[in-house]
Amino acid sequence: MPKQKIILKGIPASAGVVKGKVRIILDPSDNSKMKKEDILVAKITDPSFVIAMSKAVAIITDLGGLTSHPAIIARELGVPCVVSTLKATKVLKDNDKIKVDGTKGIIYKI
Amino acid sequence: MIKLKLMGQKELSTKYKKQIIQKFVKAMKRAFQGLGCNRLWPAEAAQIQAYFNSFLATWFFEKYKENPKKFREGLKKLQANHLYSLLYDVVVVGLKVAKRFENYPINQKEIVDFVTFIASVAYEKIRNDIFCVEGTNKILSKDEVTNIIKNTKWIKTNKEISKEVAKLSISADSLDWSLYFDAHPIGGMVTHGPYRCKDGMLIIKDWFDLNPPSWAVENKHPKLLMYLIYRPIKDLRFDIMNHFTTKQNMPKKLVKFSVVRGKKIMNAEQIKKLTSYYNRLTLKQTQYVNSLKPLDIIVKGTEICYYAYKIFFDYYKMNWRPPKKVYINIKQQRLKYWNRYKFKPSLVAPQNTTQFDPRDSFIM
Repeated sequence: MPKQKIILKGIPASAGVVKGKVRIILDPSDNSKMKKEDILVAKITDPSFVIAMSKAVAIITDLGGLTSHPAIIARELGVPCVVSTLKATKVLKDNDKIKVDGTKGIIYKI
Repeated sequence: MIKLKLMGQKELSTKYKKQIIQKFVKAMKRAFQGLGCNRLWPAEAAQIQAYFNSFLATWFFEKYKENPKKFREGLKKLQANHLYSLLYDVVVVGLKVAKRFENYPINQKEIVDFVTFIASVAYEKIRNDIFCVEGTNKILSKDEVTNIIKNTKWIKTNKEISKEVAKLSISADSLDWSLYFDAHPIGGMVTHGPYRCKDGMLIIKDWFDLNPPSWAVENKHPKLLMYLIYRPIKDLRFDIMNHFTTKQNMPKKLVKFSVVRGKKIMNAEQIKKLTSYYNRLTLKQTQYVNSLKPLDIIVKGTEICYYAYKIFFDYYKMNWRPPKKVYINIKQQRLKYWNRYKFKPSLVAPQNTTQFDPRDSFIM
C-alpha cells in the first residue's frame, strides 16, 4: 500500500474517512464549482454555502470549532469534517486528491 | 451532580445562587470551547451587541425592580433557551457595561441576584439540566414525549431518505442563520432532547419562525418541525447555545422520523421540494445581507436580538422594536464598536469567557 503523506491536521469535527478531490470555495458565488464527490475546502462557511455543503463528501475549513457551522452541518449530513486547520485554503489546491479522516482530524495527500 | 431545587422557592439561598452561577460560567466556557476560533457571519456578536445591550439589560433590570412578580410571569412566556440567551447575549455583559461605563446604579451582588432570578425561571421550564451542563436540553415532560411518540405518524428511514431529511435540516438551519445571523440563531429555532423512547432517543428540531418581520423575505413555509428518533447516541451533548455534538454518524443512526410543515406531514418528495425552496430563500437573503453597509447590518442585528424577546414585550404591551435611543446611539457611535470587535483570533479565546461571569467585573 502506498505511503500516505499527512499534509494537514485540525480539529476532528465529524467522524468518518473519505477520499475525494479538493474544491476550494472562497466566495459562495462559486457554489456551482462544487461537483458531487468533491471535498469542500473553505476558510469558514456561512449560510450561503448550503448548496455546496450538501454536495460535499467531506468539509475542511481553516477556522471553526466543534460547534461552528461547517461542523454542525457535516454531522447532520454524516460526512467527515476537519475544522481549524489554519491553512487548508493555502496548502490545498483544486483537484488535489486527498483523504480526510474526520475521526482523527487528519488530511492525507494520496 | 448538584441538584438544584428551585421550583416554588420565593427567595433563593446563597448556596443555590453560587451553584447556579458556577453552572452558568461552566456552560459558557464549554460553549466557547466548542465554537473555537470561529468567525461569525455577517458580524461578530459583540460588533452588534455593543450598541444596545446595556440599554436592553437595564430595561429588563428596571422592569424586575418595578415588580418582580410581574417580571417573573413575563419571563415564563419565554422558552428556556431564550432565557439562556437573555443572560449571555444581554444581561450579564450589558449590566457590567452599564455599571462600569455608564454610571448605572447597580452593584455586583445585584447583577448576580438578577442572573439567578432569571435562571430560576429557566429552571422551572427544563428537566433538571440547567444551562445544558450535563449535555441535555429537555423541555418536554414524560407525558408530552409519550403523546408525541404515540400520536405522530412516523416514516421509517432508509439510506436515501435519511440523507434527504438531513439536507432539509441543514437547509432550514441555513435559512435560520441567514435571517437571524450566526449570533442569534435561536430567534427562529430550538433543538431539544434527547428524550428516551422505546426505539432509542427522540430529538425535536423546531423552526418556529422562519419569516421574521425584520426582513422583506416572504417565506410561505415559516414553521417546520422535525421529530427524529435515533438509535441511542451515548455521546450526544447539547450546550447552552443550543448546539449539539456527537462523534456518531447521525443519518446512519436515524430510525424513523416525521417532518411537519405547518400542520401537514411531509413525504419524501415534498421534503426535497422544501429543501430547494429554503435554499433559494437562503441565497437571496445572504446576498441581500452581504450587500448592506455595516451600519445597516448593526441596525438589523439589533432588531433581530430585540425580536427574540417579542413575547416578553407583548406581555408588557410594548412594541418589540428597539426604542429610538438605540437607533440614535447607533448613529452617534458610527463604526466605533464595529471596528473594535472585528474578528480577531485573540478575541475568541476561551479564557475571555470571564466576561460572562456575573461575579467578575471583567469586560473585553
